[in-house]
Amino acid sequence: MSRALIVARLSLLETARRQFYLLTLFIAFGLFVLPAVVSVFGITASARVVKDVSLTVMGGYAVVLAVFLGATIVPGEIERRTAFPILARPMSRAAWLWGKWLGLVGFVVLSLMLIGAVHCISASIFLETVEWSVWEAITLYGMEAGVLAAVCMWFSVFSSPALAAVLGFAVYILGGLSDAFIDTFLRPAEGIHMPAGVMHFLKGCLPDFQLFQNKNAVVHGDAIPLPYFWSVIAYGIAWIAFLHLLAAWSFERKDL
Amino acid sequence: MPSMTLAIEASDVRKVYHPGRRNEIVALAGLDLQVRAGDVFGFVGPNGAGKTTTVKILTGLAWPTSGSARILGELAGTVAARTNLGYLPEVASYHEFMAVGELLSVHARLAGMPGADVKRACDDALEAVRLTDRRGSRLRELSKGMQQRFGIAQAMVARPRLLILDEPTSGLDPLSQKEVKDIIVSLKSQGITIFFSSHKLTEVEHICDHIGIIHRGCLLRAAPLQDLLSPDDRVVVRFHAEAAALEALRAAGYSPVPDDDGHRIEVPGAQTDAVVDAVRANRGHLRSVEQARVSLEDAFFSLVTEADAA
Repeated sequence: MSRALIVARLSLLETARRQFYLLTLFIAFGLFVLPAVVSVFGITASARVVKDVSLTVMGGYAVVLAVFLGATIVPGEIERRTAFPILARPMSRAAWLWGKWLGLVGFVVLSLMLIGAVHCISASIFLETVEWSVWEAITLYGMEAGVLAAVCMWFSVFSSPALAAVLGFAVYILGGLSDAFIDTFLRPAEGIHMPAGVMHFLKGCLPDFQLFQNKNAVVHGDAIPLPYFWSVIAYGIAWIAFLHLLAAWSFERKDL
Repeated sequence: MPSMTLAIEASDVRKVYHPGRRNEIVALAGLDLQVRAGDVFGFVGPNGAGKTTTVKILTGLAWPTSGSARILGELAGTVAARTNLGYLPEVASYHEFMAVGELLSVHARLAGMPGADVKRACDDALEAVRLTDRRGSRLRELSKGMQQRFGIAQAMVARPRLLILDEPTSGLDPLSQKEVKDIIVSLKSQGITIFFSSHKLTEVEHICDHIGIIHRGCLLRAAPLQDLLSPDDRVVVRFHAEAAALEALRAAGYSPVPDDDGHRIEVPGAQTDAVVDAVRANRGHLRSVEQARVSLEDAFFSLVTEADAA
């Protein structure tokens, strides 16, 4: 575990070096001025609008980071050969993968924390309102990014970074479809037998990303029930553990 | 050879890339290799011979298709096998945004070194590769030669019993090559087993005491350097002699040929006494009697050419 943490620190520093923090700072700045802009225009229910936009941006940013970093962080280290001296150390490849994932998710979580804090400060200054429930939504976004990053990392172990990113994003879209959406658009139609059943089955095999998305409840002031919150956290951890097992199994005997 | 004294042992190792496909490549075709603990073993071969594949299998970066390899008694590729191993990859690349000392301590800790020993080990490694004054420099600020010296430092920082160096002087200028060679020679004196892969024969000849020659995935020969450079028991007798004496020697069946400062006769070892007596009997002045040697380059080309012909 200690070796995985050393790799995690390296991975975090490597990610920061790629200047993603500038993007984080840019988004944080945008969300800082957002309440001021909204209050200037006197938009009704401005607090709700700010929360909606801010959480949408945070969720989207977390997904982009998870897909991009998850798909590139392992192949990048192998291509640059920085992984070789490290993988020749007495540590398992699974521990190395775990460390890489911890590092990148650490970066995503730190970014979300910074942006979330800026949102709260800005909302308290310009709108004189802070709702701590946004942190529950942000936490679930972080968990969602963790699962998605693990999906992409697994794909990147046996495919190119570009394909891993596409496959990872496809899993995110498919796993995030609502049952109502599938039933509405893929139901049997005249002369065409749409595979709604197949879609339901596929969706059932993938992580349900809808569970992590609770923006609407938070925006409308509904608290996320604690049992639900913790069960989603447990669900995310279970998926992350499962995906790590798959990635470790795929990576263990891969020739580098 | 008892297994306990072996640092590296490979038995019938085959490595096939893309097996069963049109682009199938047999990188190793049943490699048998033994390296004794304490040896400096030069692993030479042309490009594409299978050197780097062998190194990757030994370090656990690749897996054999069949056969097995052991590092200090442990199956190659396992965590246990990597415990006493230091490795310098062929084209080494490091986290160049980090400081030299910082990354070196990362490697020491990854190697399992206790925290209290890390600083001392880093100091020793940096001193050994003469980078002490660059401890705070970022890797990207170092020249290529310095980066290669850092590579050796990271390989040796945890005081491994076996160092595997893959083409350590590749791409370096002559000065940097000499610096790296000097470092390896100093490591040799510390009794560390060094497995040294290279296609630079003169370099290997100067550093190593055992040589393995690999070609097309097969080990053609592995032997002490002296055995390779003295392929058969032949002796060179060097002497000064007048023209008449040379004629007499020719008449006796010898073939004196001009040498740097006189003449020489090369004969099988068993005829040494006879030729020395013949030179003296013809009033020649004996200069030296030495075992005949070929260069490693000659030995290498001879073996490779024979293998290609076969």
